[in-house]
Amino acid sequence: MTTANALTESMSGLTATRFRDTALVRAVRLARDESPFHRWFYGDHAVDVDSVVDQRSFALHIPVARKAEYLRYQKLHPGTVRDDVRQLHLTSGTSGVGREVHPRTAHDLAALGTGGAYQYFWAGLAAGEKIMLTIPYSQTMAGPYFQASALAAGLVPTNAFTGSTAERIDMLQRFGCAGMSITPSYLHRMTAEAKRLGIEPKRSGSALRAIFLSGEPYGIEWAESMQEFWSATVHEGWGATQTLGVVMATKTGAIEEHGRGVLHGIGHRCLIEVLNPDGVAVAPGERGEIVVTTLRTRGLPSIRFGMGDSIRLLRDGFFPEFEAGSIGRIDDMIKIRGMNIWPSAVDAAVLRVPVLDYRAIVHTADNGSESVDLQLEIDAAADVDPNLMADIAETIKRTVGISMSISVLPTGTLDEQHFKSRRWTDRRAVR
Amino acid sequence: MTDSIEQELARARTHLDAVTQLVAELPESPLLIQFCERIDALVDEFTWELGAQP
Repeated sequence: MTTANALTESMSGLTATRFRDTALVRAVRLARDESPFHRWFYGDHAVDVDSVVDQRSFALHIPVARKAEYLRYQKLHPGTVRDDVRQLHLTSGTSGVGREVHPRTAHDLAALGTGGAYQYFWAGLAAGEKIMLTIPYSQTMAGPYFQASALAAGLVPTNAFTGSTAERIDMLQRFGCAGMSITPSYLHRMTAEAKRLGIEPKRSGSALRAIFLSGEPYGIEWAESMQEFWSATVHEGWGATQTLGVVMATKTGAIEEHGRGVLHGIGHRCLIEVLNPDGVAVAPGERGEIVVTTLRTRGLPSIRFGMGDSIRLLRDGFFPEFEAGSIGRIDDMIKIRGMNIWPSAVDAAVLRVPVLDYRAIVHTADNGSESVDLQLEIDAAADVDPNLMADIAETIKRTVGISMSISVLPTGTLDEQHFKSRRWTDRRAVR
Repeated sequence: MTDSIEQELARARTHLDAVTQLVAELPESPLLIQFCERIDALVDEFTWELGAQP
């Protein structure tokens, strides 16, 4: 584990409390004064911003804002753009309810990569080393963010978001990348392709030391198998368009002693609250919704923004800690036969070698009961254990709580997913 | 040490503000104005990472 900035990381006690309180007061007042959305939102909710003097009064007086409010404002006031906007970022749209527009100022762009730089330095990367970026560059924030994070850390980006998987593997070796940023589902596919090509990073002396996962949950055994194959430490970072990039990241890795590692909040850049459905902060050990307040964003700051993501809090405070690998959507839960099913739990059970990817279809069977069909794509080149299907079915029944029917699709049926895989379809007669 | 850095940075910011004002008076030099905007934003970000608040 390496330090990114001893000045901020050693902050504790009274200094940290003062810093946080001052930053929160500053952030909420700047939002009221500069952000058209917040002026509208606080007017609508009769919020007295001047009553905020510390974190306690902040949590008491400032309501949680949500995607629906951003979208409502943008519909009511289309084209409202500040004069000092320098970039516009769209959210990815995976929620299906609409894409938020996030205007960025010069200050935002100067701050865009700093959180990511913390993540890279914590993982032991150093300026001048190369990092492969696989997540597509588009009108979302992801592309500019990854470039900016490499710039902030002095890393040399190897841009591999076009080309085939084999070409990316070739670039990884050719440029001697020490880091790679990738989603779990695409790493899974890339690993299968590397095996098919006969590549053995462990034996060939690969330069890769750190794999940075983001965007999707993953299982412990799967992450261990990735570490073993690539001979590199699997790390995780969490951030979003609303947080201006990474605001929590692992230091020693996403896996620790065959269990989940620790995500460390970057507390001087973003306040991360974990709240229960009643809006009350959860105790360490409990799960709740991630609610963020950015301290460095000016174009459209997030002030108590409810992310809709759930996480387990391990430790609260100025530098809070969270459980790695298990961030899921609070609204992803599907009720099937009266049971609460989280797709992330199925991901953990299904995504293992030689399964490349899967799709799940929830439907109403002829007899009226609800069923789930899992369609797996298997690596054609792999030696498939004859008990694989039975093992997966048993794991699902044991860990998820219901039985699912499993079938195998021809290789190449499912598209490659590089960013936020969508695997589930609900076709029930009654939803 | 941090105090010294912050003091020097405050001086640099004063100089930068003066430069920005002069550049703003130059005709047809939007490029230079953008340099000033970017430098100011970076100084702001650097100040935050010193543990101070601009």
